[in-house]
Order: sequence, then structure tokens, then C-alpha cells
Amino acid sequence: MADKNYINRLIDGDARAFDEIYYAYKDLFIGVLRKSYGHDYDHAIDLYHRAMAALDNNVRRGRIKHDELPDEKLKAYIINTGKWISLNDHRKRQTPMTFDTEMVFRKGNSMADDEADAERSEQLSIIRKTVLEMKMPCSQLLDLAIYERKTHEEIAAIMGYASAQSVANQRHRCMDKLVNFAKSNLKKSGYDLR
Amino acid sequence: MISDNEELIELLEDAIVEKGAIAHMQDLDRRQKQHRRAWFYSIAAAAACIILFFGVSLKLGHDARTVGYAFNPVDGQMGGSEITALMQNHQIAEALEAIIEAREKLAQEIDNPSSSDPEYKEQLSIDSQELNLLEAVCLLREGRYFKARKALQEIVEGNGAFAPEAQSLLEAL
Repeated sequence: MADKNYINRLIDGDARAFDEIYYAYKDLFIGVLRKSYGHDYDHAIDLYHRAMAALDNNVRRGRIKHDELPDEKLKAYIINTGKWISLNDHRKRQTPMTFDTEMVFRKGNSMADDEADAERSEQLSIIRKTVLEMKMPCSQLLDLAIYERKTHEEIAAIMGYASAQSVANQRHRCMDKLVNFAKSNLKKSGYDLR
Repeated sequence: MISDNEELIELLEDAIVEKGAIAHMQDLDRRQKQHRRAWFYSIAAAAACIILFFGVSLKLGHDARTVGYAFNPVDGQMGGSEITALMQNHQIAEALEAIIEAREKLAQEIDNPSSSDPEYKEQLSIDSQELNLLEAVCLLREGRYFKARKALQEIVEGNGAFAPEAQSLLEAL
């Protein structure tokens, strides 16, 4: 079967590549996770979403290079990521937690179980929860700026700001608010930033 | 352990990307479900149309055969011919072939009549109309509803010797 070079296209910013990868491996991933771990459909799809989100983030952070993952390896990468997340969840007494995309990248198949990872995992869970609790307009602004990578001009047009500078100022305020909120949540759980 | 502000910001950005990606994938799932539902309904509608079409075809075919076999071609002027004999024996395909042959011979005779008697020419015309009626009845007996209906309508519109019989067959359909 001809290699569709999904990962190269994703790295190069092809907007359709992510959707194509998503549809290409979805049924296989769900089938494997259900068979290997006995997950129900909803849990399997949740794991798929988290594995794909990790892939997306690793590409954005430049951790995956061109030609590093031809389609067959990409398929295995996504499935292994899902398995790792599933085992990590299980290790945390089946409480769904977020994952460190960098850990996913570094560990791949490995399933080390040490206190440092457990602590970090909990911190990341708090950070994820903080982001989910963001309210408007910061949640929309930061989504547009960071996830959708819109320019400040585009965001000004979408959200009705007077200028790109207004958007830049608001973005800065939103990030400050978010950082303070995250620190506060981490502190409440006993984690102080050094 | 998160070591500094810069790392915290990076992790917050990662979480924002994750949130956005998951929302996007949930949207992809919704669209896929809608697409599959629409596809299923299209297939179901097409299947229903096909079933309806076959159902109607079967019904019409049955009606045509019923009317065709209820009509007795040996009545009136049409008794005793080879064609009517084949029809009585339910050899409809053979009867249609015989009609075609008879039509060809009749056409030759009409083009080049062996007699100039006007009554003879009138009889040739009636024979031709008879063949048309017998053909229509054969089509009915084969269950070819629409073709038979069309043939009968042409006979009625021609207002010839067998128009009343054709009209009565049409009304029975």
C-alpha cells in the first residue's frame, strides 16, 4: 500500500493531514484497545483522542522530524501511545489523568512506574483542569492563538477587537491570569513552583 | 516537578493544544456520524424504492396476465388461425414470432395485392388490425403491462375493427 506520508504532511502544515490520520487509524485503534484491554467504546475513543492530541503536540513542538514516522510506524506509534495512556490510567487506580506529551515521546513503549512520574502526572492533570476551567474571552482567544495559530489580525476580526495590538495585550493578560490560576491550583494540591 | 514559569507556560500551552485538538476530533466524530446516518438513510430509501418498484412491477405483470388470459382470441373473427392455436397452448413466444412473420407477409401483400377488389384490400387491413390485437393480448399474457397498454391504446386510437375489443381490455387493466 502506497505510503501517504501523513507525518510529513502534518509537519509541513497540511490542514487536512490531521483529519486524514484521524479517520485512517480510528477503527483499528479502537479495535486494538478494546481487544487488548477490554475497554468499552467510549473509553477507547477517549484514549484515541488523547493519543492523537499527543501526536499533534509533538509535531508542533518539533519533536518529530520528517520521514521519522512513515505510515506503518505512525500507526504503531499512535497505538502504543494509547496503550501507554491506558496503562498509566490504570496505574492511577483507573482515574483518568492527563499525560505529559514529552513523556509519551520519550518513553514510547516503556512503562516505568516511579514516584517522580506519578507526581508530574498529577501536576499535569491539575494544569489540564485549569485550562478547561478558563472562561471567555480568554478561552476563545487562547484557543485561536495557540491551537488554531491564528494571527492577531485574524483574531481581532473574529472576536471584534479594535486592532491586533488589542489582541496582543489581551492575550498577555489572559496568559498571566492562566499562569496565576495554575499556580494557585498547584499550590492547593501541595505543589509549589521552584 | 515543574521547575519554573517558562516550563509552566509551555505546559499550559500544551494543555490548550490538547483541549483544542480533542474538541476538533469530537467535531470530526459528529460529522462522521451524520455522514453515516445520511448514507444509511439514502441506502434505505433506495432499497425501499427498489422493493416498491419490484412490488408494483409484479402487481402490474400479474394484472396484465390475468386480463390477457381472460380474453378469448377464438371468439369473433379470430378463430382457427395458427397464431390463436399457439396462444391457446400458452406458447406465447412462438405466437409472437408467428405474428411477426404474418405481419411481414401481410405487408408484402398490401404493397402488391393479388387482387384489386376493394373488399379484398379492406380484408387485408382488417387482418393487419387483428394481428395488432393478437400481439397486444400476447404482451398481456407475458405480463408486459406498459407495452401491452401502449399497443391497446394505439388500436383504440386507430378506431379500426378491433377498437372495441382493445377498449374493453384497457378498461379491464
